[in-house]
Amino acid sequence: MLDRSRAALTCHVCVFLLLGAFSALILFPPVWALSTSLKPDKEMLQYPPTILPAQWYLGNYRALFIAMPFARSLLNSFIVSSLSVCLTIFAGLMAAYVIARKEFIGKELVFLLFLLCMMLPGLTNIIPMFLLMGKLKLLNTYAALVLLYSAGNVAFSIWLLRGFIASIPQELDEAAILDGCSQFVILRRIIFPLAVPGITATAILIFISCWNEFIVAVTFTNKETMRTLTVAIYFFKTYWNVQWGSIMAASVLAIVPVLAFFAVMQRQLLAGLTKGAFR
Amino acid sequence: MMKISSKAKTTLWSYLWMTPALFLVLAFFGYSLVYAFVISTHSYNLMRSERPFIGTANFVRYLTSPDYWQSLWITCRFLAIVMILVVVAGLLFALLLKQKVPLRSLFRGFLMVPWVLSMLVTGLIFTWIFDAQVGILNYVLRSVGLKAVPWLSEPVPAFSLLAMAYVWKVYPFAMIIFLAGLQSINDEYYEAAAVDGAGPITRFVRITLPFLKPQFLVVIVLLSINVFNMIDMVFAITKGGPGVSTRLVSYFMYTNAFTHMEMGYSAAIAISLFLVNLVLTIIYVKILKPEISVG
Repeated sequence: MLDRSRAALTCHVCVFLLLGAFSALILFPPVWALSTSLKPDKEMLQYPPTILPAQWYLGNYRALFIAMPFARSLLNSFIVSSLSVCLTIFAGLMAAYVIARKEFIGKELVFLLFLLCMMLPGLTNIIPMFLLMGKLKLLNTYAALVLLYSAGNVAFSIWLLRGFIASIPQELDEAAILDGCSQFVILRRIIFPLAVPGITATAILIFISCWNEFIVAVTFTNKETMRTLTVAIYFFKTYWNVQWGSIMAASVLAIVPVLAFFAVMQRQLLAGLTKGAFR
Repeated sequence: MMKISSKAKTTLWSYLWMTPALFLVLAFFGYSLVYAFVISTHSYNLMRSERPFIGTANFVRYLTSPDYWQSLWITCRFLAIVMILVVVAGLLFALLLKQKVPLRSLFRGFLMVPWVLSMLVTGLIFTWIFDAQVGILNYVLRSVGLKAVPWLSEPVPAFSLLAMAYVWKVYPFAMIIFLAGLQSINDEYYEAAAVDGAGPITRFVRITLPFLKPQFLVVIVLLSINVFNMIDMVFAITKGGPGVSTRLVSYFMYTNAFTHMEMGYSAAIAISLFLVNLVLTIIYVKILKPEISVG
């Protein structure tokens, strides 16, 4: 008996150590990016390399904002991602509500349509959309990115929100109908408040996906003032020949907001991820 | 009679409420699909003003082009390699995280971090770590007496680098799917097997793996879809090079459209990608069928 519990303990210690080792390995790239971003150019290229910066140097970050138009890109990313979240949640919540609560003709078909749109990635649509946005004179505008991101995410949001709404007891709606509330009032007064945790998780997942998006952003903008974060970082690397210190500083700044969201909401976001798509 | 009209009313009203979502989805996917077919039958180059109808010539052109088949082959090779690595890493980490050790949710959080990072930023961080001259990895290789690897200037290392960065970025997804699957297996099966004298390996092969079959299918299908549309990391790390050794079919399509401005030709290639995605999606929906209960 004692032997067995000792074996179990050893096993637990091994698992613990393995998890620690793998975590360290997996976290190395972002940690190394942070370390690099805090070193001056000379130390960054020094041989042998220093693991931690000899002293914290903020010049790389300063350069991003003084010598490069990085603040504008941060702002662009923030505006585009926030507007996309608003539009997606607005359209998604209304659709998710009727799909979760109403019986209507063609429901299976509509649901299948949304499911297909959630699964089919946007890359094959990029050429027709580029030509369309060109005709509509929407290239280099927030509108193009917001519309494309919302269209790309709305089916995903319906998929998640439908699940959250379905878990709210239907008796509440029925009671409200008996009290003479309109459908809109039910959505605003009952569904919305109770679904807030689900809506928040969905909104954050969509925000992260827009914030991280690159291909659509690089295709539909070519003006420097319209670049989002990922596009700006890509151009620093590819065309500006910026030093690695500043590229890593920009990367760190791109990572920090999503990591903060993730740290605070890990459990809810994971629930969303297991239910939802691969993105 | 009364009942039918009330159902008709609900239907009308429901579609009204779904209008914004349906508009977004149809304007994007519906229009794109139709328009992609239209331009794929035209010689449509943005640099020229004439865009004549040419029937199936664009399709014939890429189906007879060695470049297309080569990029497809590279994509399949890439898929096979990352599939093995993602499944192994995802399953291994999920098995470890299932054990009840202290700080378990902290470790889960750490191991999930790559999932929230962008493909592009991940690609750039890996490019920096793997830099041939000043990257930390080559420094480590040299200091343990190995030869430095020219990561970006030779085909096999460049391909490996792309695969490693991609695996690092996407394994958390498989890990979470497997973890959810593992947690749904009833402990009684393991206890019964232990009573019957089954060792850990037998239990894993006879109980865990069969129970995880749906999770394996989901991971395989979703990873395939993702690889066929993955392009960010190619931009960030190799740009298809050296030569064309890491030119995935998605990147081949994209550069034909936005570097050579051959919209008609690229739209025709995009349709072949669309068909691959459609087949995979249908498989996925079939797997998910038991879980999809409308309403």
